[in-house]
Formats: sequence, C-alpha cells, structure tokens
Amino acid sequence: MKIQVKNGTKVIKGVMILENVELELESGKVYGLRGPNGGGKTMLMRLISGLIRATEGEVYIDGNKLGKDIDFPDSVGLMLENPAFLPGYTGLQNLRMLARLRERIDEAQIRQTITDVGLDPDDKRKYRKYSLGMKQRLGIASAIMEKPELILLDEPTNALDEKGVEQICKLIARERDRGALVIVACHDAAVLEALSDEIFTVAEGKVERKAVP
Amino acid sequence: MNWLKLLRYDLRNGVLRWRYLCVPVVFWPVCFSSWVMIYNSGNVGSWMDYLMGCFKGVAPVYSVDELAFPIGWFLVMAGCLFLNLDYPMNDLTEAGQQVIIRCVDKKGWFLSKCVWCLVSTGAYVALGALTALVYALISGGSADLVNTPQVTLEALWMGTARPLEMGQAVMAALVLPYLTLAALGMAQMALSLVIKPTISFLICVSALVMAMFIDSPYMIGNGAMVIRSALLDEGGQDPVQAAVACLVIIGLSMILGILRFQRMDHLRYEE
Repeated sequence: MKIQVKNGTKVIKGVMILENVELELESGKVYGLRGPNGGGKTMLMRLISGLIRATEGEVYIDGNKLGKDIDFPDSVGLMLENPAFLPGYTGLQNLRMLARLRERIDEAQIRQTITDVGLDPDDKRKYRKYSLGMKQRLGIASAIMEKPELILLDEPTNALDEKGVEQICKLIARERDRGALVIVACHDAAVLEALSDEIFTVAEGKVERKAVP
Repeated sequence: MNWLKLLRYDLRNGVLRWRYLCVPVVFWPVCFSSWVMIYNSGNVGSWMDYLMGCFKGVAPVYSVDELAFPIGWFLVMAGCLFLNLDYPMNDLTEAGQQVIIRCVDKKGWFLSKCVWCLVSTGAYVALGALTALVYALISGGSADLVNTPQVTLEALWMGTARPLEMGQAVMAALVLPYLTLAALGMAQMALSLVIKPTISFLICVSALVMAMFIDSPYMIGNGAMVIRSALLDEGGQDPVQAAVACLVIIGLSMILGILRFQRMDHLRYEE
C-alpha cells in the first residue's frame, strides 16, 4: 500500500486545521505522529482514513483519489481517541458485529485478537462496564482484527499500564512485520521512538519530518 | 462489503431496540380517547374505527381561534419522528464510525439508513395498529379493517356515515399515515446531515402544526389526517395526490441526503 498526501489542506469553520501537508507513506512501516494537542494529528488521521475531505489538495491510496475514486481505503483499521462501541454489548459481541460487515475473519480470529490485546473474549461484562484501559484495548482490537493494510491508531497507549503499553507496542510491531502501514499518534516520545520507523511532528496544521529513530 | 450486511447491521441495531416497546404507550391514551367517544355514542368500535381515531387529525381550520388542537394525532405523529431521531446520527459520530470506514461506499451507508428509516416507521405504525387491535378486541369490537358508519359519524365526528371498502379504509388510516411519517422521517434524517438533529426534529414537528392550518394534499401532514380525506368527505383531499407528495419527499430526501453525505466530514459533535 502507498499513501500520498499532496498539498493536503483542511479548513473547518474558517480555522486552518491542516496546511499544505505533503506525505508519502508505504507498507511495512510504522509512522509516528507527535505534536501538541490540537496540532492536527487526529485530523490528519481522519483525512487519510477518508472520514474528512481535504479542502484543498488530494489524498491517494494506491493511486486512487480519496473522495473521488474511492470513499474510504478498502482495507483500514482505525482507532481514534476515545473509542466508542455499542454500550449494551460485550466486547466480543461488538467486534463480532463489526466483523460481520466484511466477513474477512472468523470467530476464532476475533477471539484471538481480543486475547492478544489482553482482554478475555468470554468476559460477560457489557462495554459500558469496561474501564478506560479495557475500552482502549478493545478499540485497538477492532482496528487490527481484520488484518488491514492500513492501521491508524490515535493515542493507543492512553489509560494503559506499563505492561499494557509493552503489549500494544509488540502488537504494533507485529502488524508492521506483517506488512501493514501503521500510523500512530502518541504523546509519549519514548514509546513513539521505540515504535516508529519515521516520526513526523504535527503542529499548527503543519507536518514536518522530524527524525529517523 | 455486501450492502445487505450493512442493512442487517442497521436493522438489528436500529430497530430491535427496547424503546419500540414504548410505542403502545403512545397509542394507548389515543385509543382510550377514541374508546370514550365510541362508548358515549352507544356504539362498539372495530379495529379500523380505532385506527381512524388514531389518525383522525383535525378538520381544516383557518385561524388559531378555530383550532381544537389534535393532541392525540400530534402525539402519534411526533412520537414516530422522535423514535427515528437519534439512531442515524449516533451511528455517524460514535460507535458507527467503525461501521462507516468498513462500508467502503458512502452512498451505501446512507441508503441503508433510508431503508432503516422506512422499516422503523413501518414497525412504529404496525405496533400502533396492534395497540388499536388490542383496544378493539378488549372493548368488545371486531378485528375488521372496515369502519362502522355510525362510529365514524357519531363518535369520531368525521362528517359522513359512508362505509368505506377495506382497501379505501386501509389507504386512509394506514398507508397514508405510514407514507407521511416515512416522508417526514426521511426529511428529518436528511436535514440532520446539515443541522442539529434536534433542530431538524423541531422543523418536522412544525410542518405537522402547519398542516393543521394549510389544507392541501401537498402540505405534508395532511395525508395522515383521515378526517380530511376525499374518501370520507367529497370535498376532501385526493389520497393519491397526498401519496405522490409523500413519495416525492422520500425520493428527494434520499437523493439530497446521499449528495450531502458524500461531501460531509465525519467529526464528533464537539468538533
């Protein structure tokens, strides 16, 4: 998979959210995004996932223009800040319902992904009873369970303990090794450097390649 | 993604909800009011009589002073709009974002919501009709889908003692109210893509209030008032024109909704 953002600009209610973003991203790498709150990291992820349209400029996924040739990338997993699921269902039920939309994975794979993120697939608690950390883990599970080519994770380590952070970092590395293109936004510089092949700083809507760790 | 899978998701999560059990609670007092009028007139009402009571509406009025506000009719109509209010928008901003990115095609997502709206409205009318049936049976009436002329004239004061054929009665008291509610529900859903859902709800409810004063089959809301139908009153409104007006609104809402949805950003409410 290859993603190209050309002159990506987003203005919402007169406010410049992203300004002339130029990016070229490819499979098998983890790209880290860091920057201050409100700098545009989440919006950049929304732009690449097709959830928002560029005011100016274009986003290409494997040569297909988002918003024209395709509405969304064909194979994408997404966890934006504060993952939301149906509150009256268990984690397994929520993921099962999402997986049924595409039928790319079976029940065993859903259960395995839930286990991989450190949750119990047989946990009978409804999503509304989940702790913040559990919600976060379920959000990550939903993003990676179908083994998508593009994975977007916004603050995946939020609300996780040290062991949880380590677990998620291993999962992200595994997805990269599988050949996925992973974009991670994170405030924790140490985690981001350990994870990423390339890091971009996103501040005031501008994206700058920072360093290759 | 197969569109039918998305539709199955919408029907499961948007229709199989506990709140639909509240529908009989909305229809119950309206049926009770009809029962009181039927009982006081010394008659026994059929299923159709109770249905006509629910969707009776109000005779044409030309000033606020003349208006006897049709509380029951308004409750029944607004109740459906309220029921259909939140699902599409919650699905757009919260858990549904996981669904949107999996649907690949935005047009398919909105079309699925359109079908959901039609089915949800159908479920509402069906549950209301069942409530009317229960009322008819427990009050000693029949389960017939034909009106009782004496009840129509003496209890519901619809100005005629003409018996309707079953097809006509079903058209006036079930099909047209369904089409009207479906058209308003679709318009509400399409409007919600541009303005806040609560505002679109208020606009649609305002249309119902305006319909009380504007006696025209093209004013949405009139079709759902049995008392104004040409089937009961020769000077009344043509049900076919009212049905066409509803179908046009449904079609327009669908087209404009798709066009808007394809261009809109998916953000959280606070953004």
